[in-house]
Amino acid sequence: MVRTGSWFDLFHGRPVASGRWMFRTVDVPGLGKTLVVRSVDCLGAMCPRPQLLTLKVLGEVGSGEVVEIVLDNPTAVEGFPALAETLGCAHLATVRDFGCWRVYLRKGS
Amino acid sequence: MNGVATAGTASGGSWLSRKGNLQALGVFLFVVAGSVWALALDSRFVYMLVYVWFGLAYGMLLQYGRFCMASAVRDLFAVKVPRMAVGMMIAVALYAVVAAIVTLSGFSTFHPNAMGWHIIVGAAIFGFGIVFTGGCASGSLYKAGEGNMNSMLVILAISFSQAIVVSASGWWDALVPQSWVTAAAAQDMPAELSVTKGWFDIFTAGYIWGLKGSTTAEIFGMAESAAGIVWLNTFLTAILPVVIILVALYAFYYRKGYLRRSGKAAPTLGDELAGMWAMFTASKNTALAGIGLGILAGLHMYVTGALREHYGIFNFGELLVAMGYTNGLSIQDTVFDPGYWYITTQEAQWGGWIMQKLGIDSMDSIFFGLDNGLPNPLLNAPGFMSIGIILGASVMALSRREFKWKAPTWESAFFAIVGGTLMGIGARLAMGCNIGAFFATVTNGDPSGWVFLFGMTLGAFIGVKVFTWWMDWSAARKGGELGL
Repeated sequence: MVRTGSWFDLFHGRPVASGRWMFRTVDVPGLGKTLVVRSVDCLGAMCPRPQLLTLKVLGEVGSGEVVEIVLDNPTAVEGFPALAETLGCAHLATVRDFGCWRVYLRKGS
Repeated sequence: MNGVATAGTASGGSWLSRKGNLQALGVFLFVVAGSVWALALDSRFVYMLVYVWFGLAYGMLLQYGRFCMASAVRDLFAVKVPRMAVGMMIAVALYAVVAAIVTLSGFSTFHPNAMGWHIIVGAAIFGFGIVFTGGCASGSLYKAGEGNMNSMLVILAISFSQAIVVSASGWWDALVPQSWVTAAAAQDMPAELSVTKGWFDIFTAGYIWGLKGSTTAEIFGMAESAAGIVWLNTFLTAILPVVIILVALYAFYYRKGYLRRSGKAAPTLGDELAGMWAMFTASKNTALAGIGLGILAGLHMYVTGALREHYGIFNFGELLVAMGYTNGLSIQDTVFDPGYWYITTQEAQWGGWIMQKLGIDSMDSIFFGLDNGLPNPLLNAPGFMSIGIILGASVMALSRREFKWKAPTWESAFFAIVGGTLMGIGARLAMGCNIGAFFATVTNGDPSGWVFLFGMTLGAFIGVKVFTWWMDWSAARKGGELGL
Protein backbone atom coordinates (compact mmCIF):
# COMPACT_ATOMS: atom_id res chain seq x y z
CA MET A 1 0.00 0.00 0.00
CA VAL A 2 1.35 3.42 -0.92
CA ARG A 3 1.65 5.79 2.00
CA THR A 4 1.29 9.42 1.06
CA GLY A 5 1.89 10.52 4.62
CA SER A 6 -1.16 12.73 4.78
CA TRP A 7 -3.12 13.18 7.98
CA PHE A 8 -6.02 11.37 6.40
CA ASP A 9 -3.85 8.32 5.92
CA LEU A 10 -3.48 8.04 9.65
CA PHE A 11 -7.14 7.18 9.74
CA HIS A 12 -7.54 5.33 6.52
CA GLY A 13 -4.23 4.41 4.98
CA ARG A 14 -3.38 1.07 6.48
CA PRO A 15 -5.26 -1.98 7.58
CA VAL A 16 -5.40 -2.35 11.34
CA ALA A 17 -4.55 -5.92 12.18
CA SER A 18 -3.83 -8.35 9.41
CA GLY A 19 -2.16 -11.72 9.41
CA ARG A 20 0.16 -12.42 6.51
CA TRP A 21 2.27 -15.45 5.74
CA MET A 22 5.96 -14.70 5.94
CA PHE A 23 8.33 -17.64 6.59
CA ARG A 24 11.10 -15.52 8.06
CA THR A 25 13.88 -16.62 10.36
CA VAL A 26 13.94 -14.51 13.50
CA ASP A 27 16.43 -14.51 16.36
CA VAL A 28 14.09 -15.12 19.30
CA PRO A 29 15.75 -14.37 22.67
CA GLY A 30 16.45 -17.52 24.64
CA LEU A 31 15.67 -19.71 21.66
CA GLY A 32 17.94 -18.61 18.82
CA LYS A 33 17.12 -18.65 15.14
CA THR A 34 13.50 -19.62 14.71
CA LEU A 35 11.36 -19.94 11.62
CA VAL A 36 8.30 -17.72 11.98
CA VAL A 37 5.57 -18.76 9.57
CA ARG A 38 3.17 -15.94 10.12
CA SER A 39 3.12 -12.41 11.47
CA VAL A 40 -0.01 -10.75 12.82
CA ASP A 41 0.10 -6.96 12.56
CA CYS A 42 -2.03 -5.55 15.39
CA LEU A 43 -0.54 -2.04 15.49
CA GLY A 44 -3.20 0.41 16.56
CA ALA A 45 -5.75 -2.31 17.25
CA MET A 46 -7.96 -2.18 20.33
CA CYS A 47 -8.77 -5.29 22.38
CA PRO A 48 -10.18 -7.85 21.76
CA ARG A 49 -9.10 -7.73 18.10
CA PRO A 50 -5.45 -8.75 18.67
CA GLN A 51 -6.52 -11.73 20.76
CA LEU A 52 -9.22 -12.84 18.34
CA LEU A 53 -6.90 -12.49 15.33
CA THR A 54 -4.26 -14.54 17.10
CA LEU A 55 -6.85 -17.21 17.72
CA LYS A 56 -7.69 -17.28 14.02
CA VAL A 57 -4.09 -17.32 12.85
CA LEU A 58 -3.15 -20.10 15.26
CA GLY A 59 -6.04 -22.08 13.85
CA GLU A 60 -4.49 -21.83 10.41
CA VAL A 61 -0.89 -22.85 11.16
CA GLY A 62 0.40 -26.32 11.95
CA SER A 63 1.43 -27.75 15.32
CA GLY A 64 4.88 -26.66 16.42
CA GLU A 65 4.94 -23.67 14.06
CA VAL A 66 5.81 -20.23 15.39
CA VAL A 67 3.78 -17.09 14.83
CA GLU A 68 4.68 -13.50 15.60
CA ILE A 69 2.20 -10.92 16.88
CA VAL A 70 3.18 -7.25 16.56
CA LEU A 71 1.38 -5.06 19.09
CA ASP A 72 1.46 -1.54 20.47
CA ASN A 73 -1.33 -1.99 23.00
CA PRO A 74 0.31 -2.53 26.44
CA THR A 75 -2.81 -4.09 27.93
CA ALA A 76 -2.99 -6.69 25.18
CA VAL A 77 0.74 -7.46 25.50
CA GLU A 78 0.30 -8.12 29.21
CA GLY A 79 -2.35 -10.73 28.52
CA PHE A 80 -0.51 -12.78 25.90
CA PRO A 81 1.35 -15.18 28.23
CA ALA A 82 -2.00 -16.03 29.86
CA LEU A 83 -3.63 -16.33 26.44
CA ALA A 84 -0.88 -18.72 25.31
CA GLU A 85 -1.49 -20.91 28.37
CA THR A 86 -5.19 -21.08 27.63
CA LEU A 87 -4.58 -21.98 24.00
CA GLY A 88 -2.03 -24.65 24.89
CA CYS A 89 0.69 -22.69 23.09
CA ALA A 90 4.19 -21.99 24.27
CA HIS A 91 4.87 -18.30 24.88
CA LEU A 92 8.43 -18.15 23.55
CA ALA A 93 9.21 -14.48 24.09
CA THR A 94 7.93 -10.94 24.17
CA VAL A 95 10.45 -8.62 22.53
CA ARG A 96 10.36 -4.88 23.03
CA ASP A 97 10.98 -3.08 19.74
CA PHE A 98 10.69 0.55 18.65
CA GLY A 99 7.12 1.62 19.45
CA CYS A 100 5.84 -1.93 19.62
CA TRP A 101 6.22 -5.39 21.06
CA ARG A 102 6.74 -8.64 19.17
CA VAL A 103 5.20 -11.67 20.83
CA TYR A 104 6.30 -15.14 19.68
CA LEU A 105 4.02 -18.12 20.22
CA ARG A 106 4.57 -21.75 19.23
CA LYS A 107 1.41 -23.66 18.51
CA GLY A 108 0.99 -26.72 20.73
CA SER A 109 0.04 -30.18 19.58
CA MET B 1 6.05 -7.53 32.65
CA ASN B 2 7.67 -10.88 33.04
CA GLY B 3 10.17 -12.09 30.49
CA VAL B 4 10.25 -9.13 28.14
CA ALA B 5 13.40 -8.87 26.11
CA THR B 6 14.49 -5.59 24.60
CA ALA B 7 15.53 -5.23 21.00
CA GLY B 8 17.22 -2.29 19.41
CA THR B 9 16.66 0.23 22.18
CA ALA B 10 19.26 2.31 23.89
CA SER B 11 20.16 1.49 27.44
CA GLY B 12 22.51 2.95 29.98
CA GLY B 13 22.92 6.59 30.98
CA SER B 14 21.24 8.29 33.91
CA TRP B 15 17.52 8.03 34.56
CA LEU B 16 16.95 11.63 33.53
CA SER B 17 18.83 11.28 30.25
CA ARG B 18 15.89 9.37 28.79
CA LYS B 19 13.34 11.53 27.05
CA GLY B 20 10.36 9.57 28.37
CA ASN B 21 11.49 9.94 31.97
CA LEU B 22 11.94 13.68 31.53
CA GLN B 23 8.46 13.99 30.05
CA ALA B 24 7.03 11.87 32.88
CA LEU B 25 8.73 14.14 35.38
CA GLY B 26 7.33 17.13 33.50
CA VAL B 27 3.76 15.83 33.82
CA PHE B 28 4.33 15.08 37.49
CA LEU B 29 5.73 18.55 38.18
CA PHE B 30 2.76 20.06 36.32
CA VAL B 31 0.43 18.38 38.82
CA VAL B 32 2.62 19.53 41.72
CA ALA B 33 2.61 23.12 40.40
CA GLY B 34 -1.16 23.04 39.89
CA SER B 35 -1.63 21.76 43.42
CA VAL B 36 0.57 24.47 44.90
CA TRP B 37 -1.31 27.12 42.89
CA ALA B 38 -4.67 25.82 44.14
CA LEU B 39 -3.50 25.80 47.75
CA ALA B 40 -2.11 29.31 47.35
CA LEU B 41 -5.57 30.44 46.19
CA ASP B 42 -7.31 28.82 49.15
CA SER B 43 -6.05 26.11 51.48
CA ARG B 44 -9.52 24.51 51.45
CA PHE B 45 -8.81 23.33 47.91
CA VAL B 46 -6.95 20.52 49.64
CA TYR B 47 -10.33 18.74 49.55
CA MET B 48 -10.20 18.79 45.75
CA LEU B 49 -6.51 17.90 45.66
CA VAL B 50 -7.25 14.66 47.50
CA TYR B 51 -9.23 13.63 44.42
CA VAL B 52 -6.41 14.79 42.13
CA TRP B 53 -3.69 12.81 43.88
CA PHE B 54 -5.72 9.67 44.43
CA GLY B 55 -6.65 9.90 40.74
CA LEU B 56 -2.98 10.20 39.86
CA ALA B 57 -2.17 7.13 41.93
CA TYR B 58 -5.08 5.17 40.43
CA GLY B 59 -3.87 6.09 36.94
CA MET B 60 -0.31 5.01 37.69
CA LEU B 61 -1.43 1.69 39.12
CA LEU B 62 -3.97 1.02 36.36
CA GLN B 63 -1.28 1.58 33.75
CA TYR B 64 1.32 -0.38 35.71
CA GLY B 65 -0.93 -3.41 35.99
CA ARG B 66 -2.57 -2.92 32.57
CA PHE B 67 -5.60 -3.18 34.77
CA CYS B 68 -8.39 -3.45 32.21
CA MET B 69 -11.66 -4.24 33.93
CA ALA B 70 -13.40 -4.52 30.56
CA SER B 71 -11.23 -7.50 29.78
CA ALA B 72 -12.13 -9.03 33.15
CA VAL B 73 -15.53 -10.00 31.79
CA ARG B 74 -14.85 -9.86 28.04
CA ASP B 75 -11.83 -12.16 27.96
CA LEU B 76 -13.71 -14.91 29.75
CA PHE B 77 -15.83 -15.25 26.63
CA ALA B 78 -13.61 -13.89 23.87
CA VAL B 79 -10.50 -15.94 24.62
CA LYS B 80 -11.29 -17.79 27.86
CA VAL B 81 -8.52 -16.05 29.79
CA PRO B 82 -9.24 -15.29 33.49
CA ARG B 83 -6.19 -13.05 34.14
CA MET B 84 -8.02 -9.77 34.64
CA ALA B 85 -11.04 -11.29 36.36
CA VAL B 86 -8.59 -12.60 38.95
CA GLY B 87 -6.91 -9.18 39.26
CA MET B 88 -10.27 -7.49 39.74
CA MET B 89 -11.31 -9.97 42.45
CA ILE B 90 -8.02 -9.38 44.31
CA ALA B 91 -8.74 -5.65 44.23
CA VAL B 92 -12.30 -6.21 45.50
CA ALA B 93 -11.07 -8.30 48.44
CA LEU B 94 -8.45 -5.73 49.46
CA TYR B 95 -10.81 -2.78 49.06
CA ALA B 96 -13.41 -4.59 51.18
CA VAL B 97 -10.96 -5.12 54.02
CA VAL B 98 -9.82 -1.48 54.02
CA ALA B 99 -13.44 -0.30 53.62
CA ALA B 100 -14.37 -2.26 56.76
CA ILE B 101 -11.64 -0.46 58.72
CA VAL B 102 -12.78 2.90 57.33
CA THR B 103 -16.42 2.18 58.20
CA LEU B 104 -15.49 1.01 61.70
CA SER B 105 -13.54 4.21 62.23
CA GLY B 106 -16.63 6.23 61.29
CA PHE B 107 -15.23 7.89 58.15
CA SER B 108 -17.12 6.00 55.47
CA THR B 109 -18.53 8.17 52.71
CA PHE B 110 -20.45 5.31 51.12
CA HIS B 111 -24.13 5.37 50.11
CA PRO B 112 -25.78 2.18 48.84
CA ASN B 113 -27.41 2.07 45.41
CA ALA B 114 -31.10 1.39 44.84
CA MET B 115 -31.67 -2.27 44.02
CA GLY B 116 -33.84 -3.02 41.00
CA TRP B 117 -34.13 -4.28 37.44
CA HIS B 118 -32.57 -1.09 36.12
CA ILE B 119 -29.17 -2.33 37.30
CA ILE B 120 -29.23 -5.45 35.13
CA VAL B 121 -30.56 -3.58 32.09
CA GLY B 122 -28.08 -0.69 32.44
CA ALA B 123 -25.14 -2.93 33.26
CA ALA B 124 -25.89 -5.16 30.25
CA ILE B 125 -25.92 -2.14 27.92
CA PHE B 126 -22.68 -0.95 29.55
CA GLY B 127 -21.12 -4.42 29.24
CA PHE B 128 -22.10 -4.65 25.58
CA GLY B 129 -20.50 -1.25 24.93
CA ILE B 130 -17.14 -2.05 26.54
CA VAL B 131 -16.47 -4.86 24.07
CA PHE B 132 -16.48 -2.31 21.24
CA THR B 133 -14.57 0.46 22.98
CA GLY B 134 -11.70 -1.74 24.18
CA GLY B 135 -11.98 -0.51 27.75
CA CYS B 136 -14.37 0.42 30.55
CA ALA B 137 -14.72 3.99 31.83
CA SER B 138 -11.56 3.86 33.98
CA GLY B 139 -9.77 1.82 31.33
CA SER B 140 -10.52 4.46 28.72
CA LEU B 141 -9.07 7.12 31.01
CA TYR B 142 -5.79 5.32 31.57
CA LYS B 143 -5.52 4.30 27.93
CA ALA B 144 -6.07 7.93 26.96
CA GLY B 145 -3.07 8.62 29.21
CA GLU B 146 -1.08 6.17 27.09
CA GLY B 147 -1.84 8.29 24.03
CA ASN B 148 -4.73 6.22 22.71
CA MET B 149 -7.03 8.58 20.78
CA ASN B 150 -9.73 5.92 20.50
CA SER B 151 -10.05 6.02 24.26
CA MET B 152 -10.26 9.82 24.17
CA LEU B 153 -13.19 9.49 21.79
CA VAL B 154 -14.78 7.00 24.18
CA ILE B 155 -14.50 9.52 27.03
CA LEU B 156 -16.16 12.19 24.87
CA ALA B 157 -18.95 9.79 23.92
CA ILE B 158 -19.53 8.74 27.55
CA SER B 159 -19.62 12.38 28.67
CA PHE B 160 -22.09 13.67 26.11
CA SER B 161 -24.33 10.60 25.94
CA GLN B 162 -24.86 10.75 29.69
CA ALA B 163 -25.54 14.47 29.65
CA ILE B 164 -28.09 13.98 26.89
CA VAL B 165 -29.70 10.92 28.52
CA VAL B 166 -30.30 12.64 31.86
CA SER B 167 -31.73 15.81 30.39
CA ALA B 168 -33.61 14.68 27.26
CA SER B 169 -37.37 15.04 27.06
CA GLY B 170 -39.95 15.12 24.25
CA TRP B 171 -40.28 11.77 22.47
CA TRP B 172 -37.92 10.16 25.02
CA ASP B 173 -40.68 10.51 27.60
CA ALA B 174 -42.68 7.84 25.78
CA LEU B 175 -40.03 5.34 26.97
CA VAL B 176 -41.33 5.37 30.54
CA PRO B 177 -44.69 4.02 31.78
CA GLN B 178 -47.48 6.35 32.90
CA SER B 179 -47.35 4.87 36.41
CA TRP B 180 -43.87 6.33 36.87
CA VAL B 181 -45.13 9.74 35.73
CA THR B 182 -47.90 9.54 38.35
CA ALA B 183 -45.44 8.45 41.04
CA ALA B 184 -43.03 11.25 40.05
CA ALA B 185 -45.82 13.84 40.19
CA ALA B 186 -46.65 12.68 43.72
CA GLN B 187 -43.13 13.56 44.88
CA ASP B 188 -42.91 16.87 46.66
CA MET B 189 -40.38 18.47 44.36
CA PRO B 190 -39.79 22.12 43.41
CA ALA B 191 -41.57 23.13 40.20
CA GLU B 192 -38.32 24.32 38.61
CA LEU B 193 -37.17 20.69 38.35
CA SER B 194 -40.24 19.74 36.29
CA VAL B 195 -39.96 16.11 37.41
CA THR B 196 -42.79 14.93 35.19
CA LYS B 197 -40.93 16.14 32.09
CA GLY B 198 -37.81 14.40 30.89
CA TRP B 199 -37.71 10.60 30.85
CA PHE B 200 -34.73 10.34 33.20
CA ASP B 201 -36.40 12.60 35.77
CA ILE B 202 -39.51 10.44 35.62
CA PHE B 203 -37.35 7.30 35.87
CA THR B 204 -35.53 8.75 38.90
CA ALA B 205 -38.48 10.25 40.79
CA GLY B 206 -41.13 7.73 39.70
CA TYR B 207 -39.09 4.53 39.90
CA ILE B 208 -35.66 4.78 41.56
CA TRP B 209 -36.90 6.76 44.58
CA GLY B 210 -39.44 4.03 45.24
CA LEU B 211 -36.70 1.42 45.53
CA LYS B 212 -34.62 0.54 48.52
CA GLY B 213 -30.87 0.56 48.64
CA SER B 214 -29.12 -0.91 51.62
CA THR B 215 -26.00 -2.69 52.72
CA THR B 216 -26.37 -6.25 53.95
CA ALA B 217 -25.80 -5.07 57.52
CA GLU B 218 -28.63 -2.54 57.13
CA ILE B 219 -30.97 -5.24 55.80
CA PHE B 220 -30.38 -7.22 59.00
CA GLY B 221 -30.51 -4.11 61.19
CA MET B 222 -26.86 -4.43 62.18
CA ALA B 223 -25.40 -1.39 60.39
CA GLU B 224 -24.25 0.15 63.64
CA SER B 225 -22.54 -2.93 65.04
CA ALA B 226 -18.97 -3.99 64.32
CA ALA B 227 -20.15 -7.58 63.81
CA GLY B 228 -22.62 -6.43 61.15
CA ILE B 229 -19.98 -4.41 59.32
CA VAL B 230 -17.30 -7.09 59.44
CA TRP B 231 -19.33 -10.26 58.98
CA LEU B 232 -22.29 -9.15 56.90
CA ASN B 233 -20.83 -6.33 54.81
CA THR B 234 -17.22 -7.40 54.40
CA PHE B 235 -17.23 -11.16 54.72
CA LEU B 236 -20.65 -12.19 53.41
CA THR B 237 -21.10 -9.52 50.73
CA ALA B 238 -17.53 -9.13 49.46
CA ILE B 239 -14.99 -11.75 50.58
CA LEU B 240 -17.15 -14.88 50.31
CA PRO B 241 -18.42 -14.11 46.78
CA VAL B 242 -14.83 -13.26 45.76
CA VAL B 243 -13.61 -16.64 47.04
CA ILE B 244 -16.45 -18.45 45.24
CA ILE B 245 -15.73 -16.59 41.99
CA LEU B 246 -11.98 -17.25 42.25
CA VAL B 247 -12.59 -20.97 42.82
CA ALA B 248 -15.00 -21.00 39.87
CA LEU B 249 -12.49 -19.17 37.65
CA TYR B 250 -9.83 -21.71 38.64
CA ALA B 251 -12.13 -24.69 38.04
CA PHE B 252 -13.52 -23.53 34.71
CA TYR B 253 -10.69 -21.57 33.15
CA TYR B 254 -7.35 -22.45 34.70
CA ARG B 255 -7.30 -25.90 36.32
CA LYS B 256 -7.20 -28.11 33.23
CA GLY B 257 -4.33 -26.25 31.59
CA TYR B 258 -2.40 -25.96 34.84
CA LEU B 259 -2.64 -29.68 35.63
CA ARG B 260 -1.63 -30.55 32.07
CA ARG B 261 1.39 -28.23 32.18
CA SER B 262 2.50 -29.46 35.58
CA GLY B 263 1.93 -33.11 34.67
CA LYS B 264 -0.35 -33.88 37.62
CA ALA B 265 -2.72 -36.71 36.68
CA ALA B 266 -4.17 -37.20 40.18
CA PRO B 267 -3.97 -33.78 41.85
CA THR B 268 -4.02 -33.50 45.63
CA LEU B 269 -5.55 -30.57 47.49
CA GLY B 270 -2.04 -29.12 47.74
CA ASP B 271 -1.69 -29.28 43.96
CA GLU B 272 -5.03 -27.49 43.55
CA LEU B 273 -3.95 -24.75 45.96
CA ALA B 274 -0.64 -24.42 44.12
CA GLY B 275 -2.66 -24.11 40.91
CA MET B 276 -4.77 -21.33 42.39
CA TRP B 277 -1.63 -19.56 43.53
CA ALA B 278 -0.20 -19.88 40.02
CA MET B 279 -3.42 -18.32 38.68
CA PHE B 280 -3.10 -15.37 41.11
CA THR B 281 0.53 -14.76 40.20
CA ALA B 282 0.23 -15.46 36.46
CA SER B 283 0.59 -11.72 35.93
CA LYS B 284 2.46 -10.17 38.83
CA ASN B 285 1.92 -6.62 37.57
CA THR B 286 -1.84 -7.11 37.52
CA ALA B 287 -1.90 -8.77 40.95
CA LEU B 288 0.25 -6.01 42.46
CA ALA B 289 -1.93 -3.32 40.89
CA GLY B 290 -5.01 -5.09 42.26
CA ILE B 291 -3.57 -5.04 45.76
CA GLY B 292 -2.51 -1.39 45.45
CA LEU B 293 -5.81 -0.22 43.95
CA GLY B 294 -7.82 -2.05 46.60
CA ILE B 295 -5.89 -0.45 49.45
CA LEU B 296 -5.83 3.02 47.87
CA ALA B 297 -9.56 3.00 47.09
CA GLY B 298 -10.28 2.31 50.76
CA LEU B 299 -7.82 4.94 51.96
CA HIS B 300 -9.41 7.47 49.61
CA MET B 301 -12.71 7.14 51.49
CA TYR B 302 -10.89 7.55 54.78
CA VAL B 303 -9.07 10.73 53.76
CA THR B 304 -12.17 12.37 52.28
CA GLY B 305 -14.23 11.32 55.30
CA ALA B 306 -11.63 12.79 57.67
CA LEU B 307 -11.55 16.05 55.68
CA ARG B 308 -15.35 16.32 55.79
CA GLU B 309 -15.14 15.90 59.55
CA HIS B 310 -12.40 18.53 59.71
CA TYR B 311 -14.37 21.11 57.74
CA GLY B 312 -17.73 20.09 59.25
CA ILE B 313 -19.33 19.45 55.85
CA PHE B 314 -21.24 16.68 54.12
CA ASN B 315 -20.56 17.79 50.58
CA PHE B 316 -17.92 19.76 48.67
CA GLY B 317 -20.67 22.20 47.63
CA GLU B 318 -20.71 23.63 51.17
CA LEU B 319 -16.98 24.28 50.94
CA LEU B 320 -17.40 25.88 47.50
CA VAL B 321 -20.06 28.24 48.91
CA ALA B 322 -17.77 29.10 51.82
CA MET B 323 -14.98 29.89 49.35
CA GLY B 324 -17.34 32.10 47.35
CA TYR B 325 -17.96 29.87 44.34
CA THR B 326 -21.70 29.53 43.92
CA ASN B 327 -22.04 28.90 40.20
CA GLY B 328 -23.10 25.48 39.02
CA LEU B 329 -24.30 24.20 42.38
CA SER B 330 -27.51 22.17 42.61
CA ILE B 331 -30.58 23.74 44.24
CA GLN B 332 -29.46 22.05 47.47
CA ASP B 333 -26.09 23.79 47.13
CA THR B 334 -24.42 20.45 46.48
CA VAL B 335 -22.15 19.11 43.78
CA PHE B 336 -21.21 15.57 42.89
CA ASP B 337 -18.82 14.47 45.61
CA PRO B 338 -18.86 10.71 46.22
CA GLY B 339 -15.76 10.67 48.40
CA TYR B 340 -14.48 7.54 46.72
CA TRP B 341 -13.40 6.21 43.33
CA TYR B 342 -16.07 7.06 40.80
CA ILE B 343 -15.92 7.77 37.08
CA THR B 344 -19.04 8.33 35.08
CA THR B 345 -21.01 11.06 36.85
CA GLN B 346 -18.22 13.63 36.63
CA GLU B 347 -17.86 12.87 32.93
CA ALA B 348 -21.60 13.51 32.53
CA GLN B 349 -20.98 16.86 34.24
CA TRP B 350 -18.25 17.73 31.73
CA GLY B 351 -20.67 17.00 28.88
CA GLY B 352 -23.51 18.86 30.58
CA TRP B 353 -21.32 21.88 31.33
CA ILE B 354 -20.16 22.17 27.72
CA MET B 355 -23.75 21.80 26.49
CA GLN B 356 -24.81 24.52 28.93
CA LYS B 357 -22.13 26.83 27.50
CA LEU B 358 -23.52 26.05 24.04
CA GLY B 359 -26.97 27.15 25.22
CA ILE B 360 -28.53 23.79 26.11
CA ASP B 361 -29.29 24.07 29.80
CA SER B 362 -30.05 20.91 31.74
CA MET B 363 -30.22 22.29 35.26
CA ASP B 364 -33.95 21.50 35.35
CA SER B 365 -33.05 17.82 35.53
CA ILE B 366 -32.93 15.92 38.82
CA PHE B 367 -29.52 14.55 37.96
CA PHE B 368 -27.84 17.93 37.60
CA GLY B 369 -30.30 20.39 39.12
CA LEU B 370 -31.14 18.52 42.33
CA ASP B 371 -28.23 16.18 42.93
CA ASN B 372 -24.94 16.79 41.21
CA GLY B 373 -24.87 20.35 39.93
CA LEU B 374 -22.97 21.49 36.87
CA PRO B 375 -19.79 23.04 38.25
CA ASN B 376 -17.08 24.57 36.14
CA PRO B 377 -14.64 21.73 35.31
CA LEU B 378 -11.96 23.74 37.15
CA LEU B 379 -14.01 23.32 40.34
CA ASN B 380 -15.20 19.76 39.69
CA ALA B 381 -13.44 17.71 42.37
CA PRO B 382 -14.24 14.19 41.08
CA GLY B 383 -13.59 15.51 37.56
CA PHE B 384 -10.04 16.14 38.68
CA MET B 385 -9.84 12.53 39.81
CA SER B 386 -10.53 11.50 36.21
CA ILE B 387 -7.94 13.97 34.92
CA GLY B 388 -5.58 12.63 37.59
CA ILE B 389 -6.07 9.11 36.22
CA ILE B 390 -5.17 10.28 32.71
CA LEU B 391 -2.08 12.15 33.94
CA GLY B 392 -1.01 9.36 36.30
CA ALA B 393 -1.25 6.85 33.48
CA SER B 394 0.80 9.09 31.21
CA VAL B 395 3.49 9.53 33.89
CA MET B 396 3.75 5.75 34.17
CA ALA B 397 3.51 5.13 30.41
CA LEU B 398 6.11 7.78 29.58
CA SER B 399 8.58 6.47 32.12
CA ARG B 400 8.11 2.92 30.85
CA ARG B 401 8.44 4.03 27.22
CA GLU B 402 4.91 2.84 26.53
CA PHE B 403 3.38 6.18 25.60
CA LYS B 404 2.43 6.32 21.94
CA TRP B 405 -0.06 8.48 20.08
CA LYS B 406 -2.42 6.04 18.43
CA ALA B 407 -4.86 7.44 15.88
CA PRO B 408 -8.18 5.72 15.36
CA THR B 409 -9.27 4.13 12.11
CA TRP B 410 -12.71 5.01 10.81
CA GLU B 411 -13.96 1.69 12.10
CA SER B 412 -12.46 2.00 15.58
CA ALA B 413 -13.66 5.61 15.83
CA PHE B 414 -17.17 4.44 14.98
CA PHE B 415 -16.94 1.69 17.60
CA ALA B 416 -15.57 4.16 20.15
CA ILE B 417 -18.45 6.58 19.63
CA VAL B 418 -21.23 3.99 19.48
CA GLY B 419 -19.73 1.86 22.27
CA GLY B 420 -19.01 4.92 24.41
CA THR B 421 -22.58 6.16 23.92
CA LEU B 422 -23.95 2.78 25.00
CA MET B 423 -21.63 2.85 28.03
CA GLY B 424 -22.97 6.29 28.93
CA ILE B 425 -26.60 5.19 28.60
CA GLY B 426 -25.94 1.98 30.53
CA ALA B 427 -24.04 3.73 33.31
CA ARG B 428 -26.86 6.20 33.89
CA LEU B 429 -29.58 3.54 33.91
CA ALA B 430 -27.57 1.40 36.33
CA MET B 431 -26.59 4.45 38.41
CA GLY B 432 -22.86 4.02 37.82
CA CYS B 433 -20.23 2.03 35.97
CA ASN B 434 -18.14 -0.95 36.98
CA ILE B 435 -16.36 1.28 39.49
CA GLY B 436 -19.21 3.24 41.11
CA ALA B 437 -21.90 0.60 40.75
CA PHE B 438 -19.79 -2.51 41.28
CA PHE B 439 -16.30 -2.01 42.72
CA ALA B 440 -17.24 0.64 45.27
CA THR B 441 -20.54 -1.03 46.22
CA VAL B 442 -19.80 -4.71 46.90
CA THR B 443 -16.71 -3.73 48.85
CA ASN B 444 -18.86 -1.59 51.14
CA GLY B 445 -21.40 -4.32 51.74
CA ASP B 446 -23.98 -3.32 49.12
CA PRO B 447 -25.01 -6.49 47.23
CA SER B 448 -26.42 -4.46 44.28
CA GLY B 449 -22.89 -4.41 42.86
CA TRP B 450 -23.01 -8.14 42.18
CA VAL B 451 -26.22 -7.58 40.23
CA PHE B 452 -24.29 -4.99 38.19
CA LEU B 453 -21.46 -7.46 37.56
CA PHE B 454 -23.97 -10.08 36.45
CA GLY B 455 -25.60 -7.64 34.01
CA MET B 456 -22.23 -6.41 32.73
CA THR B 457 -21.09 -10.01 32.16
CA LEU B 458 -24.29 -10.75 30.27
CA GLY B 459 -23.81 -7.68 28.08
CA ALA B 460 -20.16 -8.52 27.45
CA PHE B 461 -21.14 -12.07 26.44
CA ILE B 462 -23.54 -10.75 23.80
CA GLY B 463 -21.01 -8.06 22.81
CA VAL B 464 -18.30 -10.65 22.17
CA LYS B 465 -20.71 -12.66 19.98
CA VAL B 466 -21.56 -9.57 17.92
CA PHE B 467 -17.92 -8.43 17.72
CA THR B 468 -16.75 -11.87 16.55
CA TRP B 469 -19.52 -11.98 14.00
CA TRP B 470 -18.47 -8.52 12.75
CA MET B 471 -14.84 -9.60 12.39
CA ASP B 472 -15.81 -12.74 10.47
CA TRP B 473 -18.18 -10.81 8.27
CA SER B 474 -15.69 -8.08 7.45
CA ALA B 475 -12.97 -10.68 6.80
CA ALA B 476 -15.26 -12.59 4.44
CA ARG B 477 -16.15 -9.37 2.66
CA LYS B 478 -12.48 -8.74 2.01
CA GLY B 479 -12.03 -12.15 0.44
CA GLY B 480 -10.45 -14.00 3.33
CA GLU B 481 -8.11 -11.22 4.47
CA LEU B 482 -8.00 -11.21 8.23
CA GLY B 483 -9.58 -8.31 10.01
CA LEU B 484 -9.77 -4.85 8.53
